[in-house]
Amino acid sequence: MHNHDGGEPRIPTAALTVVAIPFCALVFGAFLANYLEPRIAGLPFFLTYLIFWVLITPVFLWFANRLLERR
Amino acid sequence: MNSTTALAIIGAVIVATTAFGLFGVRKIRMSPQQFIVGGRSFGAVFLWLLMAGEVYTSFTFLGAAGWAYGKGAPAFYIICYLTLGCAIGIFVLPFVWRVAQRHNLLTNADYFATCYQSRLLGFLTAAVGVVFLIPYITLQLTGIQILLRIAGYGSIDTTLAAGLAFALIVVFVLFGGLRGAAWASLVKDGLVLAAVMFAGIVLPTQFFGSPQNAIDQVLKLKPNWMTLVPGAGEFGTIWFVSTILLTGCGAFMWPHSIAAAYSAKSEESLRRNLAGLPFYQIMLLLMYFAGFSALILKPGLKGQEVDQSFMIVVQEHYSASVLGIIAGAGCLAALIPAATQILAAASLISKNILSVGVVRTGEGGQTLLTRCLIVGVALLAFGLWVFQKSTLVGLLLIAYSGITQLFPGVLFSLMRRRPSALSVSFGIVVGIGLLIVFAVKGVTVLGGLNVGFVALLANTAVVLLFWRVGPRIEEDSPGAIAVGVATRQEI
Repeated sequence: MHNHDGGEPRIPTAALTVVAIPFCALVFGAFLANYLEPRIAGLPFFLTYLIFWVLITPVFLWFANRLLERR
Repeated sequence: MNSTTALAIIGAVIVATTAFGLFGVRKIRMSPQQFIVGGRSFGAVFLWLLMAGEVYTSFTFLGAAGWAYGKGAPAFYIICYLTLGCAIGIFVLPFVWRVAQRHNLLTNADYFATCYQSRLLGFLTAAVGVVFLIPYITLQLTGIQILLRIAGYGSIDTTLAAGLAFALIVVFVLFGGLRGAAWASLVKDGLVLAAVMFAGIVLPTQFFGSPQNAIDQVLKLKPNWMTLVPGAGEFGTIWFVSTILLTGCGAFMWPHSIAAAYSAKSEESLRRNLAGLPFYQIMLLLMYFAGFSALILKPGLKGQEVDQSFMIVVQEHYSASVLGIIAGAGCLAALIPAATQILAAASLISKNILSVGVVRTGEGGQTLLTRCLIVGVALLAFGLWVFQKSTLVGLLLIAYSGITQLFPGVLFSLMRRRPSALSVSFGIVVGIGLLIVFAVKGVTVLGGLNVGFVALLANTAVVLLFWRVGPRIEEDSPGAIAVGVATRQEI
């Protein structure tokens, strides 16, 4: 399907970079966002932060899919 | 009287769901491919139901609320890890699927055996899969027992009742296979969604006005409940980070999860499914609200009772029919995943353990053998559960860490030049050996890190160290092409 004689990179760098954003945001969330205040819609900040990234991850994954399918 | 109503509803829910699942597969002839991986034909909806349904077990249902009740912010790891699993899976699983499709693989151990050209590694990974699946299955039994105990208002022998429900699900999977489980998940997911919305929205709104007010009440009682202890303490921030990384890597390493991935009809349906799966996490958020509400309404529960917290609240404040529906949904959340887990364990034994020099069967024989082994695995799990409940809970703590030890082998299989089968085997053995040592010594946290993560790091280091030891499959070598090793080039 692809030619692997050096030209094309094997690791889908662009897709990896896109997915790395929510991945790192979640992994390091405990270091970055472990606060109670400010409360957003009554929820603790830490929980809001995690929910935000969990819910936005599909957008990044969808975009990465587009990049992977195009290869 | 109450107990009769609640138990009758649970019984009806379980019987109706299994009947629905069997009705869905009434015309399907069960070849091993059909039985174990659904004929590799599941489109987006089925795949979603199956993969989401397998991840949200009774442990999630009861455990997410239980952790919110008993631990607070550390419970938030549960919404993170599957999201990380999807992010990793989107790169890993389509490749695994392609290899499985091309080589007609049925189990996760087949994948190792094929990629590393080593039946011994296939045997080892199958053994690891079975050993860690059994405690997972027994955990589902414990979940069912908790639900039946509460729904029975203490009036019935719950061990016997759990055994009956379990026997029914074994018969179900014997005839329904993976496709039957996917059909049954359709009903199960709908009911679980309803139950979770009740527990997470209706219940806190009725008692506190809104789920947010429930959080205010918890904060008055326990000001630190919504944040982690910074640093290396037990359940601190370092533990949190290492745990979501560990469980994120392990999320799709379970034999039944790999079987679900194999069942996809195309790489695209698998990818799209993984991209959408994080949305399902919202259900867990609602279970946190249920746990927080229970903490205020019924404080003071300890130990294993914590997992029952929100069910006890439902029992005390709502009618027997509401209790029956919620407990019925919870029972399904235990039984359907148990069905796919038993199926995965049985297929590992028939395909990768017994086949090493002992049993040779044709296609029809393999389905029959797998069916016999389903009964065997179920009896073993039930027997262990009845006689060894306490120690199995301890065993379960290392099960997730244990299955994650398969991750380096899967990750490195994506590389052009793979490590040797021997190095991957060493890595798994060292990782699991360390877990056993930690479990025996009762160590759960090392320098703030989850010990499973420490074992995963050691495992990876061993693979890197022994990378070139023993025969290796160079995917570009003529030998590799001759034996039909799964390579990236051919795919």
